[in-house]
Amino acid sequence: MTDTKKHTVLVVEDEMATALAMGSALEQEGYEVLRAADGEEGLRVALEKHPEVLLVDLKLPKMSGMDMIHALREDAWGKTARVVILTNVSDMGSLQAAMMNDTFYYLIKSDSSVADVIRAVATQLAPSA
Amino acid sequence: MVEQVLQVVAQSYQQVQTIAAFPLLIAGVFVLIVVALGVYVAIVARVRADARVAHLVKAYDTVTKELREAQKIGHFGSFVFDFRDLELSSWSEEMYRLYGLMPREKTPDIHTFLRLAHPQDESVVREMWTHVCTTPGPFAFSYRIVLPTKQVRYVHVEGNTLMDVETKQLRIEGVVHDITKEMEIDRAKSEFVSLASHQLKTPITSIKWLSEVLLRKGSEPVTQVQEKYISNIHDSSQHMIEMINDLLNVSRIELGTLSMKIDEFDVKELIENIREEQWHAAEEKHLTLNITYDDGLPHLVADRNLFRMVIQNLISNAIRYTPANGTIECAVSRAQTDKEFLFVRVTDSGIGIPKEERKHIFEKLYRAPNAQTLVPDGTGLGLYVVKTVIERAHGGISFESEEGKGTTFYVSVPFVWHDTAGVEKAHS
Repeated sequence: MTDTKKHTVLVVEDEMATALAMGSALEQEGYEVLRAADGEEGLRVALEKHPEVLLVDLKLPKMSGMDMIHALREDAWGKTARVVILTNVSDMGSLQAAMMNDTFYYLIKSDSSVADVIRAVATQLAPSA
Repeated sequence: MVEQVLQVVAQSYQQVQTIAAFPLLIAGVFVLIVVALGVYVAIVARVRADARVAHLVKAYDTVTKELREAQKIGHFGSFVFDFRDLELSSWSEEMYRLYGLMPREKTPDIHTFLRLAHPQDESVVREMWTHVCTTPGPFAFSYRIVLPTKQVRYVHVEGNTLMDVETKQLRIEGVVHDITKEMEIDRAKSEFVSLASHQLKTPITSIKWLSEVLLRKGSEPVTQVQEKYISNIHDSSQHMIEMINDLLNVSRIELGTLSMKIDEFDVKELIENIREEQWHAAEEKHLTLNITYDDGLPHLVADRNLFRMVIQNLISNAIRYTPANGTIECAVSRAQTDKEFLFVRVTDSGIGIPKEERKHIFEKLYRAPNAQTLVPDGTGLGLYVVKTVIERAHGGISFESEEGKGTTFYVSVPFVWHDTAGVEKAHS
């Protein structure tokens, strides 16, 4: 994973233990990990640091993950930012709303492993993604 | 002299007459007594019969009143449809109330059940009544009705179809129970289970992920004992997630919200993902887990999460119910008989399903005694959910088993799923 060292991933997750697990695993893989614990902070960090991949939880304090993605898509850079939705909310409404915002990749947290998250990030960074 | 003789004769005649009249008199009196007694007995019998009839009428009225009251209190009505003599058909007062109709002289016909059915339940009700009208024996089913006031009511119909051996004509008798309140309570319970399960998922996922991070290469080294403990934490949290998913899926089935999100995906990739998730549990018991695929399998156009749940359930069951050093095989192929179907076979060398338990294994909360002994903490929900999902996908599931030797599950699902969620099977 030497070529991924410079890649930056923003983890927007309010659940501390989940954020810790994802962050640690990504750091072990050589990514630079940025963290945000709510939607507002996530949006601010994203627009400021321009991470290559965003991992966004849907259920977030202050601003929901979906609202954050909406706001992100308003920005010139954010319009094409790579976003992976991580959620336990497997209801169709939220996921369909994500599709409308061009966010095609999502993972249901309880059905996924840390390895799945790392794979999802790598897929987003692959040239064809 | 002659006169004297005549007088003696007359006297003798009078004596004879007197002597002869006495028995007649006795007989006459006797007849009178008998007649009087007869009249008395008849009158007494009549009075008694009248009293008996009055008593029976009163008893009948009391029973009818009590039955009416019982039906009112218990929210159930009774009905009879007699096709030999339509005059014998009847609806109880409570039946009319249940269906929101005014009592009428002519008993409503059998189509009334259908006419008032909720549009979403109509096809199921039609199917059920066709079955009831053609098959002698007991029947039971539930559905929703829409009252003329637009109020929706859940009813449970239970009864018996009798067939006249000679005329082949039917008599259908039964009761209809208003189960709206029970359904509402059930719904509230399912909503609670759903909410609680969602809340539980987040912390359990964190535990699973953190234990996975600790076990990853690149993490700080741990001792062998620590590694074993962490592995146990990981496997237990994975097991708990599966149980929560089962609970969630059951509540979705019962709330009628088990909808499908159809996506195209690679079956092989998905099953390999499940293998990755389960390998540790299999390795722990020194089980061999072989998975084979047909070459060139088309992608599935299906609900990824539901299909994943089906295969995950079958494989994790196989791991759970196979003693150490056993073998589990999973073969994924295109069905031989119908190329439009994907065929998955999961075989284990486990404890097997006892013969007498086989008919129950897809029932909700059911667990075979030998399964309970080996794994006490199962929910008995997995196979119920699996079967419901497969049926929703218009697929099929069957199995073969030999106690002490193992079980094979056969699953077939179409390569392209369509979400035709109509009336929940849970209603019927």
